[in-house]
Amino acid sequence: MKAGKPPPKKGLPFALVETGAKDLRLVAVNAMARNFGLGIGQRLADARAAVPDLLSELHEPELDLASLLGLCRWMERYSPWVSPDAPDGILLDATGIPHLFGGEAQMVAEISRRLAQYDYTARIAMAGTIGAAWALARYASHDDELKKLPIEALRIDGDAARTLRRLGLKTIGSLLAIPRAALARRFRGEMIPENVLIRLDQAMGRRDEPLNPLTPSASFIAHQAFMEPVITSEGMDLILTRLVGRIVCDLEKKSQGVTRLNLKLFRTDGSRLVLSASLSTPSHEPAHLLRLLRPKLETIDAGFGIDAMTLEARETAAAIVQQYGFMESGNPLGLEQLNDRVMNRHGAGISTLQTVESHIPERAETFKPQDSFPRHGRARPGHPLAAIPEEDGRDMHGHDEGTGKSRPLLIFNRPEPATVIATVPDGPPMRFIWRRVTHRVMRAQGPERIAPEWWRLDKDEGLTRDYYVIEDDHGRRYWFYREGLYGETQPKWFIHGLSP
Amino acid sequence: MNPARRHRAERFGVSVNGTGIALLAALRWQIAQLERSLPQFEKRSPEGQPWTIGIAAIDDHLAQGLARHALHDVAPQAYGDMPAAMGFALALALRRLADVSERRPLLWCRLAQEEREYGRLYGHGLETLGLARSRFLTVTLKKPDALLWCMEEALKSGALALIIADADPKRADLTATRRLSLAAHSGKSAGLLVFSKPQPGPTASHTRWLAATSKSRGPPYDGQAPGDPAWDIELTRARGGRPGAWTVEWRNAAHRFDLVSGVPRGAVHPWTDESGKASAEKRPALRAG
Repeated sequence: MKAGKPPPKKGLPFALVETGAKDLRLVAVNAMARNFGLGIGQRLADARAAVPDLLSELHEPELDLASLLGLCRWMERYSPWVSPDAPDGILLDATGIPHLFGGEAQMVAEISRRLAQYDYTARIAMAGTIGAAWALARYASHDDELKKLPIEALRIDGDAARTLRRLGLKTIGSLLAIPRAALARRFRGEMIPENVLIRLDQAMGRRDEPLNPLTPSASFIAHQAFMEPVITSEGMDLILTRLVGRIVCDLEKKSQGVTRLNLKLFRTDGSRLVLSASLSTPSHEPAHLLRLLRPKLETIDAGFGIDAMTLEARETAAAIVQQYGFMESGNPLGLEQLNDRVMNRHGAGISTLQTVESHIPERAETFKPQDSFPRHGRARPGHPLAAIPEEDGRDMHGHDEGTGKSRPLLIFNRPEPATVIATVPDGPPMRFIWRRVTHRVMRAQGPERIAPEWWRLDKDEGLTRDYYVIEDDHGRRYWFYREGLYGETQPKWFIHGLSP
Repeated sequence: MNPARRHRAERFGVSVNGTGIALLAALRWQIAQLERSLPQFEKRSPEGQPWTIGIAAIDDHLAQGLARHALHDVAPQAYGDMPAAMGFALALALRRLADVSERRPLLWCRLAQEEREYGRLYGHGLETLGLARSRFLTVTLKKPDALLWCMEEALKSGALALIIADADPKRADLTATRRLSLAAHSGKSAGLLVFSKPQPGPTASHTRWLAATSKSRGPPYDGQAPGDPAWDIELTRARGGRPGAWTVEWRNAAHRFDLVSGVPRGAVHPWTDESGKASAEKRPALRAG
């Protein structure tokens, strides 16, 4: 398939130019300019002389590529397996698709009709190999056979083509007539475009050629195209429900659950939107998938309407088949689904606090995002919930009960400096100013000395800290530390946490 | 129904009269009959224990303990009492989690701005107060509206015993709390709002509390050290109950409130006497840091 650039104005000769070695040369012309006899490679000055009112623009290959990719994405409505063939082609793997349009000819007609609506001039060919389709789209005039096409249609480079022409081999048919060994001897280039035999085999289907899709294909897809564009959210919701129903049906048959879903919406103006939802645990529960996608669908801008929707399961895994308790009510995967909803809507995940082996308080634990949660009511061995403390003391009292250490309920990510009056060398604060308020200390416990972890390699480990639990005249608790020791440095005081 | 299934069902002595639903109901009934005779079904009471404070003087003011599937809220008395409000909310939650028939975890929804103001929750500190890390889940959200949405979803999901959430008094108004209240009822979970500022507006909560820090009594073995946390709490509103005010201590070790009658006032710092002046002979060099 060959796509030109839509002209700025219909009916006027127009060309794109490129700075050559000495002068500006044409790199693309529209149909009107071609009628005037202009062609690619001509100098702009010559072209202007022949056609004085020729419009020209500087050629920008990046924009070309971007628009080609855009068109590629739009093409995904016809096939999940689409690949850009820069600079001016798009390859579609149509295996198993034409019957949906009523046949190959109808599919080609449909695509060219839609492209014409967007003012694209396109040449479309369908063939058994990439090479043959490429050749037919670019060189066939009408119902031509592959054999009759010139050798340039084989996607070979200029040198190889020139050599063949010099030898009198002008069509693919003539190339097929000569022995393979001769061709192999003559063209033994490493690069595929130099190697005529490889190209010939690719076109004739004797050699496999992989097609790299723009987006890797999903194994579960539900697609729906509409007669009329849909604008209302109710309409889209109805279709989404239907698509989810279909994909869930396929997933269930293979006992798979989805962990990443993409919903592609094709707008009538040729642009495409993708909404995606991620799940922490594989699921094929329609209600859950709908609850994840619906809020996203509500926020989109439908533009002039949506005329096709595709739902893809991008990542799947074996589904956790959860049997509902016979006597219990409630959803056994409630927490996972809640986490998915919060994650997809607000980007914040539910996490647990995980202990880390470290003496430095701020390092002693991390937030650990959860992707699965303990089932309520039936803890399995090894599962976090299995460790629910019975009345055995240690966990109930906090793990530090034995050593007499107490820790604050709240901890500052960045300890807050405070002005402190304290006794030297290691007395607790007696009075302190924090957030511009002076507090009188009534009770104090400490110091608890925490030395920096010398085994760490980073240099900026800080100084020895002495921690104090402080209660002020209102009974409010603070967790202070003094960084550094008197005599060695000028120590600084910080509030690291608050307790009730 | 297909013949194989019918045959299977008949082998188990279930009469099959056409529809699959009837068969399913029959099987359920049979299993229920079997399971009713098992000991664990008799032992576990479906109702669970009531959620009480554990002090008769306070429980008298509540109708029948705190409602377990409803919304409650705690507000700080003054700006600096926020940790006390959070601590009291956690203590209430621990009273609820002590129910052995309740095995679901606790979720604490935090607001990013509150984490900056008062710090983030510290697991070792939660353990000090008595909450096992394995039952604790947390999520931090940036916007108050997102937090209310999250709390409502969490309450409705029914997967959690209790949800504590930071509440912005401007957002958690009568309508919002009414929604939360309904969600708590439908999900059979309790919600506890902790207001970030004193004097929030009216809410639809079952009970409303005010919390402030109170001076602790100090442990018996160390006159200077801070003891178990103590709070002045005030029940400002109780559906079916009556308001009241008390000073309570939270026993970290025993998961229990104790009523405090009187706490000695004045300084007990080693080098400060009752009048607040430092005594000359014991006083070492002072230095500002």
